[in-house]
Amino acid sequence: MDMLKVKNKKAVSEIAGITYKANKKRNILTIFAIVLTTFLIAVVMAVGVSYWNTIIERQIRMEGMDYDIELSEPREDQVEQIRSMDNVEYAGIAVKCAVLEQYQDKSLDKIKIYWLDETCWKKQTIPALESYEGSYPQSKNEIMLGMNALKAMGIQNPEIGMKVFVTYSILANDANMELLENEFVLSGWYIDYSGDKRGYVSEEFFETTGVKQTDFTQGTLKITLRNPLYSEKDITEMQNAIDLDGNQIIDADYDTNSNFCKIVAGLIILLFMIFASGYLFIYNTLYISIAKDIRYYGQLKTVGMTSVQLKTMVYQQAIRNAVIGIPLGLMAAVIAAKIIIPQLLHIVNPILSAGDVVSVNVWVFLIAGCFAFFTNIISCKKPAKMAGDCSPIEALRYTIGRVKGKNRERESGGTYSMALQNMFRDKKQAVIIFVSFIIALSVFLVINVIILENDARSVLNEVYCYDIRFKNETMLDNDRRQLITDDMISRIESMEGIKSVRKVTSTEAVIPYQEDVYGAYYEELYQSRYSPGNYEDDMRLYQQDPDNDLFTARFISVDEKGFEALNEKLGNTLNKDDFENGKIAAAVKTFTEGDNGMIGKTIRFYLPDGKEANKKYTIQIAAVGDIYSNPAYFSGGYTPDLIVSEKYAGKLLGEPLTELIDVEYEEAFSKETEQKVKEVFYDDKQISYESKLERYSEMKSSETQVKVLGNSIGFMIAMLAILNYLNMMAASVQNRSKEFATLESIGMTTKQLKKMLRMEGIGYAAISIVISLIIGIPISYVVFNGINIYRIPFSIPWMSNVILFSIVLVLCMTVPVFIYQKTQNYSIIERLRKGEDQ
Amino acid sequence: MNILETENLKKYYDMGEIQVKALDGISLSVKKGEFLAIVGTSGSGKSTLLHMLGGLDIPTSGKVIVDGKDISKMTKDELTIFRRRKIGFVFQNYNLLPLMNVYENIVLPIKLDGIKPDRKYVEQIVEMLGLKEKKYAMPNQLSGGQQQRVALARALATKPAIILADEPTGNLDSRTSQDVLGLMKTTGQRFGQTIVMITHNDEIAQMAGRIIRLEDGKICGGGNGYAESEE
Repeated sequence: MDMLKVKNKKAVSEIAGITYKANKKRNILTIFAIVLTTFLIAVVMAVGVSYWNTIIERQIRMEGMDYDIELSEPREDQVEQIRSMDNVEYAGIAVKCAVLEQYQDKSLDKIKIYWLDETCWKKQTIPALESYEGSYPQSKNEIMLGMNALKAMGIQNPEIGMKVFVTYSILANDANMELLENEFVLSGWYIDYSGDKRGYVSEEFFETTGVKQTDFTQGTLKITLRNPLYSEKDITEMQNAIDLDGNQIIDADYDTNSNFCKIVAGLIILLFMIFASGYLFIYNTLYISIAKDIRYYGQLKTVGMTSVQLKTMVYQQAIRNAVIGIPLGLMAAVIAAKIIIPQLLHIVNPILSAGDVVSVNVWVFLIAGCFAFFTNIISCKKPAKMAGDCSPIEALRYTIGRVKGKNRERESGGTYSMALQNMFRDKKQAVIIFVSFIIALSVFLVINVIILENDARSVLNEVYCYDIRFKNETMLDNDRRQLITDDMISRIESMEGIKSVRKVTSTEAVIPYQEDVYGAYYEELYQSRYSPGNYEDDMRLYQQDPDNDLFTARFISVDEKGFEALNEKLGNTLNKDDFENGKIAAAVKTFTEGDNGMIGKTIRFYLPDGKEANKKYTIQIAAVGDIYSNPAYFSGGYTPDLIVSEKYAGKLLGEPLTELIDVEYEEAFSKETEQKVKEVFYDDKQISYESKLERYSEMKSSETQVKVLGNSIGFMIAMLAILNYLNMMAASVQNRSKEFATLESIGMTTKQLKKMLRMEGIGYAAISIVISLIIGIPISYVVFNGINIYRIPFSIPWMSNVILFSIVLVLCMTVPVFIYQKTQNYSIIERLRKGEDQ
Repeated sequence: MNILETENLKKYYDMGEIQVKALDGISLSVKKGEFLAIVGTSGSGKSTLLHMLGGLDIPTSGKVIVDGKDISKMTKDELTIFRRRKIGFVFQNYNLLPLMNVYENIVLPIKLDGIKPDRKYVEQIVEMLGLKEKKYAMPNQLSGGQQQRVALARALATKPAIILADEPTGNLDSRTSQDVLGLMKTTGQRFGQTIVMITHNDEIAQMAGRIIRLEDGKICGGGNGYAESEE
């Protein structure tokens, strides 16, 4: 074998060099494709990672605290045991110890006051805050409040050290319900996206309240795991290790693993598609000249180059292209991801420092670079392989898109049918064009669906069923009175921009002990973790004293629109007429599962605030719902609340007190409408409100980030789709130079030629748009559901897609014609000759 | 009556510092119904001349008058339409469209004119040129002679006044060449068409009614175009 070994490496390299220089124009095109693909992939990945991080961050901020699982009412020994566990990163204690009731003369909507230990504050709470000022309370009279709580108190511009005089109650088990007063000093405030109204106090203050971390529902141990992907088995093991008391539970979400898998699957599909469209872009660029290459390699073969040498030469060329193209692409990507997009964000939202918006990992660039490199090599190899596989003479004669020798019995031949034939002239190329185009368009569709899904507005629309809610805070007081009058409601209803106002009234109902109706419910309740005490004792108490606070219920009414919403949540099981006429009611309860056999039973009740306080009424329970179906806010005792029609409530109560109204706007998040509506209750200190718009405004800084990053990705993908198309069209027109000349020579006018090209373009656009919709919608649906955290209903952002589709259509119609005009300006005869040389 | 005339036709190319005179003052006239052969060695300018006659190439100076109209004054699209209606081309390498079958190739120029093909006439040509069996075949299923017959049929399809043939037999063996040329001559006579053919083959040229010889872009043999036509 040694005999055959000759030193030809140098010769091959020389030919590679010469070929490379000779094909300068083409190589520039290839390099351009590599630069673009590297750039697009790197930017999409870098921005995608940042986008994802922003979404996760926002999700944590919406939850207000960052932990994986929690243990209720933790004992000291359990805390120590858990903290020493291998799979526990850290565990912090949070105890709810007081509730702020009033600030100055303003009734507050129960601002909850917590004490957090250092771990919980520093490791689990701070990461979930958008920002905070000041510090955690140290001394007894210090307090830290959330911006939400401050706003509810009417403090718009808090200052550290300002005095806050509040009325509050403490949550100790043995505390009587009396109200206390204290002048706190504001030690700090914070912003998160939880929408909760909360505050924090010092350990010293916490100790004065007498609340213990083991008090029922007050204390929790927030646990952050080393591996957040836990299984049910892990939790059971932990439970077994720490010896739980009767009421204690570990609250964990066992879907974490499967949710994670879904997200990963969704992202893999997406990434695969992005890579595929990048791959096809480079492949297309190289495929264009495949015939020329094959003929050229055939020539080299005729003069004695072996297939191995051919391959070596091809690799060398490919490496040259990669060495020039990839670094350029990566450089451009760094500039875009590190400078342009952050600057863009900084302009949109000056609070964001331009430095830390897009976190670019080195591996992102590594992957993008490797990807472009291998795509380039694989695509280059093809002509060499084809030239190597056939005889040199066959290689010399090679043309792409040869028609198979088969009679075609048709007699068409107009511009339209020619355009149609041209589209599918080279089946393989047609497939590649369509596949690359369809993938790029589908990716765009999928990305847009994800962006829409993660839009804070979509998220909030799912979390809130109203735009603003006004609530009468005196409902449970002794001096309760009608604050939200029908007059005010009709004023709101008549305003421009209001879609609907749902009114909910409520009053206390006393429901005598009725074992046949509520027996099963009470049994389950007293066996649950929320058991109020001893079943036998309490039931005896209930029978003797049914109007004890423990056993009262709320008698709630909804109007017609409220009925629709309620009935939908209950699976449309209520008959409207019967409900309207007071024959049936819905029961809602919190602590048990299922309907506890209440459906169909008739209950007796009386209304202490009704027209006839002692008169007993009966009504049939037609449906049972949980806390999510309860349109009211305030709760009574443990007996399930009753929901009836407004008409029936009016009959029994005269003018029932309106507990709350839910206002929906024609245009959600409308500032103008919100302002007008708020004015109606402007001066009333006893009416609190909760607004979707205000929560949205709080989320704004992350929202602009999400939007700019998301749109950047969408833009990049759209670019990839469009460039891919331009590339194909340019190639197709140039490849057919000779054919156009032939057509012109036999009498096709430029006008007819342009028309044919336009028809082809429309055909490509229309077919790929239709197929990408057929393929893209199901894929986007799958990806959408994979990463759907807030159970947002699937919808397609038609606007952006219609825009892209229109751009594609316009480009398809104009670009081939433009390229034809720019490139086919030699005389027919020159083009005919040139075609022969090819 | 002259169907085709040129006046002092020139075509110069600049190749670096050298100026190539492909055509250097050609004046020529062809009568209706004539069969003219232009002969010359390669590089003599015969192809350039034919291309000028058909409006496929633009002269540096001079006039080309076809059927009384100066085609050098026409716009690109006017020229194309004029060519489609008046001139049929036959190329050495046939230039058939590979994606269309024989019939579609033949009727394409008619369809481009927005006219429904005259079936009877097309069938007549197909029959005459012996393509009946191959009507639906694709070009790559045909031999060279068959392909050239298709090209001829395509040239005849629009009933043009003039057929311009650029080395029509260049790629064919001698027997097939005779066949194709015979057919060209017959159809020309039958439909009263003028034929201008270029060739480097003297034997083939002999089949024409008149021969002119080109050398270095000038008419040098077979008589001056004017002289003969004035006879």
